[in-house]
Amino acid sequence: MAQVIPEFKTDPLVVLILGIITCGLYLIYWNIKVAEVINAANDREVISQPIAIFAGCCYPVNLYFYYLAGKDGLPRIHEITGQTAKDQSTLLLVLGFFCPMVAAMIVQGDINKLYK
Amino acid sequence: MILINSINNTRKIRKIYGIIGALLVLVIPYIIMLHNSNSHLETAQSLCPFKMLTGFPCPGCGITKSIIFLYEGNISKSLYYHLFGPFVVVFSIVSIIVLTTELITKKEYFQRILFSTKLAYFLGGTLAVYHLTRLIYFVSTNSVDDILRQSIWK
Repeated sequence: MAQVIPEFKTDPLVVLILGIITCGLYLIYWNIKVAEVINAANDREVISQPIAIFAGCCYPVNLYFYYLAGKDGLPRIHEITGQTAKDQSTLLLVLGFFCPMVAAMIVQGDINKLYK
Repeated sequence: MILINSINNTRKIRKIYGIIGALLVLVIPYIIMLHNSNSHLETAQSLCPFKMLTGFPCPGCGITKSIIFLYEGNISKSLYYHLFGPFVVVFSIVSIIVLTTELITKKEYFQRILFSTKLAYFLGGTLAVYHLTRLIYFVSTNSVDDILRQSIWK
């Protein structure tokens, strides 16, 4: 049976702003919620949530989070939203290394399309 | 059948990546420690993009230094730089052992723990409380000038 996808719709710009003004505190919560949404959309455990917390907010371990999201998580979300499933792992890896919050904005932007 | 083989291969490759990642987490601080003869680590510019941009620490800032001081046997300094530094070392060692065992036995262990939502919220809460406490301490012990000096802007 398919899992119900939890609602987590936030403006990508809010992710950036909250990430900066809370000094990364918001990203701890964001990682848990995004892992929840990606796992539910894929109907399997793509990203382990306990690992996602540390992988998502601790540089440079966050690359693992973005790799999994881009490789295994987001393609299914693209399919559900009627887009061509594409592997964004390289883009997210590069952005995750140089500017993690921008990578988070891209992931949030793709997730938001689920709720349109 | 081909699909099952493909999934098994993907899992096997992920586990190998996991072992390599955990090894890097343990080896990189060791290499840095070998080149830290004049203790430049404590004054050098952090490579964390958030710290470079704002001067403030991110939730993971200090873990590498914490592991280095743990290797040097300085536990108090290790915990000062990051409370979870020793935890990361233990986690990496356990990950290497578990993933290697999984590859050899072709079975999976600790799946319930690894995918536990309750554990995720507990860890997230612990990290958030620790980071908030650290931020308050950081702001109370550093002037605006000190904070700017820790970024790339000054």
